[in-house]
Formats: sequence, structure tokens, C-alpha cells
Amino acid sequence: MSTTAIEKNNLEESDSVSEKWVRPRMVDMPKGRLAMWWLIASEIVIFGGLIATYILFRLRHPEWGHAAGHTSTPLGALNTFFLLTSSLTIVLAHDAANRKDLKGAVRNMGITLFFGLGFLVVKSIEYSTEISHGFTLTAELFWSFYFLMTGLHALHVIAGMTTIFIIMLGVRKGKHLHRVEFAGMYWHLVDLVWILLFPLLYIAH
Amino acid sequence: MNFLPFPENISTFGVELDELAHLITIITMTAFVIAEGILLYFILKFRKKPGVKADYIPGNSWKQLKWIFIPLVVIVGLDLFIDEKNTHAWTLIKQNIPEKTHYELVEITGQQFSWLFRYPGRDGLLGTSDDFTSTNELRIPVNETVVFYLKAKDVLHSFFVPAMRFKQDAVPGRTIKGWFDATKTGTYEIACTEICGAGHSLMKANLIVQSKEEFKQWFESEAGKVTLPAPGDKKAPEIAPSAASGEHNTAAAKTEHQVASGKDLLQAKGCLGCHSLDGSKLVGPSYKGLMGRKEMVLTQDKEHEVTVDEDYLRRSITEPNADVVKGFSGIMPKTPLSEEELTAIVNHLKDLK
Amino acid sequence: MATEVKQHSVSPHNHHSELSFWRKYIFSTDHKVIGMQYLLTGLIMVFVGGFFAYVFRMQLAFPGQGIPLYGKLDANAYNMMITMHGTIMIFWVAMPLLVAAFGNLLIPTMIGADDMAFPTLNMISYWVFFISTVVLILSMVLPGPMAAGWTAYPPLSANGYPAQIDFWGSIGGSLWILAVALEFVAFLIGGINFLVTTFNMRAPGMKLMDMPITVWMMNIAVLVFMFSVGPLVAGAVMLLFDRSFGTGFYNPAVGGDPILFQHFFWFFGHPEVYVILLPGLGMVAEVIATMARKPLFGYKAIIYASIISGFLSFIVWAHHQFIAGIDPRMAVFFSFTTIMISVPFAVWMFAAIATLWKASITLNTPMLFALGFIGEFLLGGVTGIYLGASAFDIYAHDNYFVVAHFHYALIPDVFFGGLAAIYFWYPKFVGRMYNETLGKVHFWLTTLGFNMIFLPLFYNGLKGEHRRIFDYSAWPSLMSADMTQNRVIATVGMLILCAAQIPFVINMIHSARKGVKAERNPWKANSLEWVTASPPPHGNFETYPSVYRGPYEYSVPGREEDYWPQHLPQ
Repeated sequence: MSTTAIEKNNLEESDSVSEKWVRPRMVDMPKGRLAMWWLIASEIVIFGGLIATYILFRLRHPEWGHAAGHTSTPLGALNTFFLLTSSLTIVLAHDAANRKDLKGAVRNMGITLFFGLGFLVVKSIEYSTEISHGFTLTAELFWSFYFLMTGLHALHVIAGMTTIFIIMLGVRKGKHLHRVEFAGMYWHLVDLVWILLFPLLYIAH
Repeated sequence: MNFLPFPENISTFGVELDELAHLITIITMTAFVIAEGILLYFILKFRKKPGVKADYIPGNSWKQLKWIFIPLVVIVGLDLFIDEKNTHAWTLIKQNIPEKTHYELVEITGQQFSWLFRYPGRDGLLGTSDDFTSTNELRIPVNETVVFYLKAKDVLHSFFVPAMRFKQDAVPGRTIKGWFDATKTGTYEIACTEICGAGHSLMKANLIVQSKEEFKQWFESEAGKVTLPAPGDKKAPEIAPSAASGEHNTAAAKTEHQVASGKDLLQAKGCLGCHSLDGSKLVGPSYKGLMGRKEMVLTQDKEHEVTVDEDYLRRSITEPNADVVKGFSGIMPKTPLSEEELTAIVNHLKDLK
Repeated sequence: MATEVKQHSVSPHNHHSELSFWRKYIFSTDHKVIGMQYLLTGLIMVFVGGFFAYVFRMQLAFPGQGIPLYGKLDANAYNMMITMHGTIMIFWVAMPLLVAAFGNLLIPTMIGADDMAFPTLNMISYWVFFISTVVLILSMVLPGPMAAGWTAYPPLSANGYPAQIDFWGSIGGSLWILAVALEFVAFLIGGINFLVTTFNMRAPGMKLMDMPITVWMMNIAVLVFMFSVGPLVAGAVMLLFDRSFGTGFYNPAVGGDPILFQHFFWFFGHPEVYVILLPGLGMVAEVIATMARKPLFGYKAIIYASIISGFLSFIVWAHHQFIAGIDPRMAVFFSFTTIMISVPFAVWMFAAIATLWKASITLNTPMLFALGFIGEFLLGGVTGIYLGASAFDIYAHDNYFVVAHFHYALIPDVFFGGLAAIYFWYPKFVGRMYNETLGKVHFWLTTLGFNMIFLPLFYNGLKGEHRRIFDYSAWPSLMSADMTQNRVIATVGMLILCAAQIPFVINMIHSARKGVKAERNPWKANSLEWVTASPPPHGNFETYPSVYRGPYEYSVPGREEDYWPQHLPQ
């Protein structure tokens, strides 16, 4: 066996794959980013199926427009504002992490978490108002879709916040700075899904 | 040529379907036998021999790949041929459904676990007050195009007549139109082929194909039994009613303000699909001589004897599987009934001798 | 050779040898241990699913009589068992065995990587799968198990409409939905790992077209899975809501649609067939090329055909619903695509057979199973043409012809393909040779039993025997002498198939302890997993290999040896 042994970087920690021993690469990106793209792709299929189904039903049932009138557009718009702003702050966090500015990264991630929390608070206010008006999960098929889709989205918000929080703890100690980018990618997905849900569930009457 | 073990075919379009199956068999089985033959020949011929090396044939040039692609072109050609024949047969059976004829209309409803057939009565229109129904027995005239509307009351069912080569799922909320034309008289099986619950295996009906005269005679006598309500009560005729739920079925729809008779309810709610009136054992015990009968029942796996009384009847309907009569399985679904309907049914059952 | 390279050796994982038993064998992040965990879980579940098959086949042949080891069967238990048999065999046997177990064992070793891209994620994937297995088993023993067939069509699977909500009384079926959803999550995590590993961690010099076909097939399968499963995850949650909370997503009375679930199910369900099939095809191709000592005929043609079949698999799903109440005009389109999807698989079959032309075949156990795969799968393939023809499907849908057809597609794949792979890589990952005689007995008995079960069912299907019937005594037209006799033959075949697994179990256990020690490359194969020790150490390679050629350079003219490993320089 005359193969020259090639020193290999410890792949578990580094995000740029060793140039030395992986010469041919189909995708020129770190494995974490690649994995995140695949994760986002599979999430898009889940939400895509749900949203496509909802649109098909909505076209079949024009009377849902009336039910959609009972969702609170101002609160939905506020939440849209929250998520869009938090997307900006997570980008700033990524930028800070790239500059090795630990304080700036942690601060911006903190602001992102704050807006995420704000989103969840507004969402729960909406939920309780709607339920107290009798628009429960089983009230009408529109409300079933509304609670299913926004609920699933809220779970993603919570998952994204948990991820950001864990990464933030690492960044504070100066570890895993590259992971800020992956958290940001995921957070953008959460944002993107909301941007689709908002007009479909709130605006279209 | 007719070598596949199909049951006897009694429908006009079944011939097309059988021919298609035979055509596919001839094509695919020829290909199959050739492929297996070559495979076996290669295995036997090219075994490892000392000192003989295999040939180096990577199959990466068109010259070598032609051995794959020439048979492939043949396969694609045969596939297209099959597809063309198939489209023809499919269009005939499922797509070009004839317009309704005079009274050869019937509405078929699947419910757990019986088939309900509803005939249009003398006026030839479904959904009018002179409709009449039967459970688990469909009568049609021979050599006559029968157009039907298929519905389901509770869960999915599938209407399968092997001798007709016909099958169609019955879906709650949908009315699916279909047709067939029987060419031979006799009695044939109708099955449910979509799993619909514990009694699925017993969901069976008979198709009785009669000569036109016999059918007309039967139809007239059944139509004559229908008691028409006062003229002012008559509802507007409704062809192929879109709603599928039980509320719109015969008895309940007939008179909205007064409760239908217990007898009609037994029919409309599908009870007679599983419980006979004549003492024969179907999916469940017979209604004949029910009141006062002593039965061995299982209550939570404990066996004891009960005497059938009014309370027992009520409980057996509202909580169907609380006491299960020995020799039967606890598969009866709960049927939503109003208090009046329940009373009407129980009173009727008490009178059944 | 090994001593020579020792001084260069890189062992970044030396400290792992001090790991406790728990970290080493239970919560291990080593892809080989995880692969073995998947393999063993799959093999245990095959016995659970097989036991159900035993019970209901006995009931069908001898209705109403007590069944040894079980007792008397009732209709509810029968419906539960057919549901669980399908669920287990597809999701808890085929998927973990072919995709997860062999994907884990083979992808890193075949591409020359030390482990998966994300070892911890890999471990999480297995343990999510393990939890899903526990939930599945709970769903069978708790009240109200799923008994609506493995396709779980509502309204039946949602307890009818309006749903009769009895949360605890029907908890079993709800847990069944949860178990399936968890299982999907496990494979999504695992699948992302496969893709990243393959793309980012290949040995130097290994271009995409130098990868063994197995690695290709695993990745195509994972991609197909990933892009088809999403809608069903959403659909399953909707079904769970309908069942447990009384929503009406599939209830027509409030504007829902029961057929919607069928679309969700089969939009995933049909691609799923290829998710299972492609890895099996890949591994069988590996065995055939090695044992025939010939390059895999048309390696690139097979890969392109598989990619095409992956795309096509997304536009054939409605052939499961020809008579479900969809617009009949749709059937014309889906019938066409379904018949056309036979074309890529014809490429595969022809290529496999062409590989045998002028070969030098060794008929050992893995090769027998691999050839058995081709021989049997051909029948499963051609009977698919019958069912793809929508007009014939009117008659054959939900009929034993369908049952026989898909068992002729899946058993060759999962059983024959899976066993070929198990025997072929047994020396590599266990480190000892299996017993050839027991292996051959296993093969011939399995083949006999399998054909005895399903050939008669084709006949019964054509006679009109419909599925999911608990007791045919109620159906005079299905009780003719030939049909009842066929049912008995099929049941005897099932008993033979069960008995055939005894030599297998003995072989596996006995050889693992007492078998002859396996050398590094017992089959004189080319791909990278044969470079390292048997079994491979933690970190897989003493020295990381570079790749100089494709994996199927067998019997190259001008070379003395009839193989040419990928890692040897010119």
C-alpha cells in the first residue's frame, strides 16, 4: 500500500473541509452550510405541501374570506415587522461574528431573540382573543388550517430561538463562531414562511 | 384466446378489459420468459473456469450499449401499444358515461357494513318521494344500460362486481357516476373492496340480473308499495343529490317534520344490512322474535345471560358494543339518532315477532 | 502492507478506545455501530412483521381455527395485523435495513471517509428511530390501534366523521401516526447526513463518476425521500388533529376532502417504493460485478436511468387512486407515466444481465441472492405493467393480484437484495466468514417459500379474490376448490419461508463467534471498504486512501490479477 498518508484535519470542529485530502468537491461550501440548505429544502417541502393544500381549499371555498376577516391584520403586520427586523439583526450578528466581534454578535443575537419572543407574545395574544371569540381549532375548517399552519410556524420560531440561544452561549465564550451563519439561514426560513402565511391567512379576505 | 382464470364476464365492457389483460399477458410474459431464459443461460454458461478470465466489457460506448438500447426501444414501443389499448378501454368504462335512460337509474350507498340501493320509483327521478330502497340486493334488467350514482355514508367503500369487471370507490361527500350493461341473467356477488372497519369482510350484496319482463314486474310491485304523501308535501325532484349523508336518505328526507316510522328507520339507517328480519344470521343477530329472547352476552369479556327488554334494546343501540351477543363480534358502529328516532326504532323492534 | 503504513497512520480517534461500554456500543457516534444498530433493529422488526403475516396467513388458510402461538383471531385483530404488517415491513424493515443500515455502513467506507459528516447527528437519528419503534410497539398494545390498512385512509383512520373523539380509547392509532412521523424525522436527519458526507468527504481523486453505484443509489434515494415526504408529514399531522381533536381536514361535511389524504400518502408512497428499491439495486449491482469479475455494464447509463426514475417517481402516484374517485381524465396521464417508468428499470435489468455475458461467475450465497433478486424482480416488474394499465386496474385494484405484484417487487428487493448485502459485507463488518452451506440452504428454502406464497396469489387475484378479507367463508365465489387450495399452498409457503430463516439466524450468530477470520478483501473487490481491516477500526482507515479509477475495473486486459482496486496508483 503505497498511498501517501495525508494528514487530515479534525473535521468535527472545522467548518472548512481540509483542502488536503478532499480534492474533488461537488459543492464548494462547508458541510454545515450544505446540511442547512438540505434541511431548509426539506422544510420547504413540508410547508409547501401545507400551503398548496390551503390555497387549493381556499379557492374551493370563497366563503373563508369572511372567516379570514376575523384575524387581526394589525397584529399580524406587527409580527411581520418583528420577524423582518430580527432577520436584519441576525445578519448583523453574522457580520459581527465574521469580524470576530464577539460582543456585537452576542448583542445582535440577543436582539433577534427579543424580537422572536415579541412575536410569540403577540401570537399568543392573537390566539387567546380568537379562542375567546369562539374561533377555536374546530370552529371552521379555515380556523383548523389557521391554527395548524401558524402553530407549526410558531414551533419553528421556538426551535430557531433555541438554536440561536445555544449558539449565543457558545459565541460568548468565543466558540463556534461559524455557526451564527447557520442559525441565520434557519431564521430566514422561519421569516420566509411567515411572509407567505401573512397574506394568505390575514390579508386575503 | 382466453387463458386467464377470470370469472365469467357478464358486462359489455368486460370484454375489452379481458382482452387488454390477455394482450398484456402475451407481451409481458414473452419478454419475461426471454429475459429469464437469457439470465439462466448466462448463469449456466459463464461459470468460473480455471485459467479463464472474464471479458472486459464496461458498456460505456454506444457500440456496446446498443445491447441495452435496442431491446429498450422495443419495450417502449410495446408499452405505448399497451397504453393506447388501455386508454381506449378506460375511456369506455369510466369516462364516456352514457346519459341517463328512462328509469334505469339507481343510487348506491355504501355504509358500514351494507350496500343500500335506491330506485327512482315510477317517475324515473331519484330524490323524489316515490323512491324505494333495498338493502344488499341490487336488481337490474339484462341488456339495458344502467346508470348509477355511487355514494358513501360514513367511510370509504368500494363497489366491486367481479363479474362486471367493475369497481369504483364510494367516497363520503362525493357522488360518482358510473354505468354498466349486463349481458346475462343470474345472481352475482357485489363486494366492498376498501377496508371499512371490522365488518368489512361481511359487507356483501347480491346483484340480480333479470329479464326485462321480470324486472319490470318486480319494479312495479315495489313501486306500488310506496305510500305517497299528500300532494302538497311533495318535494322538488332532485337528480343525483349531492349531499351524501344519511340525513338525506329516503325515510328521513321524506318527511322532515315528523319522525319516520321505525320500520323505515331500520332501512334508512342501514340496520337491516346486518340484522335480518327473517331470523337468518347475518353480520349481527336477527331481529326476529327479539323481544323477550334470552341471549348469552359478553360484557367486558364476562359471559352472562340477559333477557331482551326495552332497556337492553336502547343500550344496544346507543352503546353498541357494551354487550356483545355470543357468537358475534363487537363491530357495530354508533349511529347518530335523535331521541324520537331511537324511541321509534325500539318500539318497532318490540313489535317484531 | 499494514505494518509498512503504520508509521504514517492517522488515528484521530485513539482516545475512543477508552470509552465506556455505553458510549462504545449504545450511544456510539461511530457510523459502523449505528449501522449495526439499524440493522439489528430492522432484523428484529422483520420477525414482528413476519409473525403477523404468519397469524393472518394461517387464518386465511384455516379460517376460524385456533392458530398455534396465537389462538383465535378476530376481525379487529386481523385488521390491526394487516395494518402493522405493512407499516413494519416498509417503514421499520425496508427503510432501516436497506437505507439506514447499509447507508451508514457503506457510504463512509466506500468513499474513504473516517465517519459521517455529523456523527452526533447520526446518533440522534438512530435514537429518534428507536423511540419511534417503541412508540409503534406501544401503539399496538394500547387501546384502539390503527386498523385501517397501512395506507390509513380517512375517514376510517380518523374514527369516522364527525370524529368520535375518545382520546384514550383510541390512543393506539394516534400513536401509530406519531410513530410514523417520528420515523420520517429520523430518516430526514440521517438523509441530510448521507448527502453531506457524500458531497464533502470523498477521498482525494474520487469524482462523482468514480463512486460505487451503491453510494449513488443511496443518495438518489435520500433525495427522493426528502422531496416527497414533506406533504405527508403535514398530512399526518392533519389526520392526527382530525382523530384526536375533532378538526375536519378530511371531513366533507365541513368542507374537507378524504381523497386529499390519499394524495398526500401516495405522493410520498410511490417515490418511497424507489427509496427502498434503489439502494437494493445498487448493492445487488455491487455483488454481481464482483462475483462475475466483470465491470458493471453501462455504469453511467444505470446512474442516469436511476436519476430519471427518481424524477418520474414524482408523477406516477395517482396510479394508486385510479378508482378512488379522482377525475377519470387524470388516469390517462398517470397510466402513461406509470407504464413509462418501467423503462429506466428495464435499463437496469438489461445492464445487470449484460454484466453476466462472458463473465466468470462464482455462485456463492451473496451471488445467489443477487441473481435471485433479478430473476424474481423481473416478475414483479412485468406484473406492474398490468396494474399501470388503468383499465385492468379497475378489476385488479385492492385484489390479490396487487398483493402478489408488490410482494414480488419488495421481497426480492428487501429480502433478496438485503440478504445479498448482508452476506456480501458480513466478512467486512463482522470480521469473520459466514458458513457457505447454511447460506445456500437459506437461499434455496427462501426462494421456494417465497414463490410458493405469491405465485398462487396471482391466480387467486385474477379469479377476483379481494384484499383485507378476514374470512372468505362468507364469499361463495371465492371458496372454489382451487382457490382454497391456493390459500393453503400460500400458507405452507409462508411456513417454509419462516423455517428458512432458522439457518440464517444460526449462521449469523455462530459465524460471528466461531467463523473463520476474514481477510481484508475476501472477494477481491475494488471499492475502498475492502482496503481497510475487517472489521474496520474506529476511524475506518489506517491511512486515508486516494482514488485513481472507477470501482468496477475487473478483468482489465493486460493485468495479471482480475481486479484493480480503486486506491492503487497506476
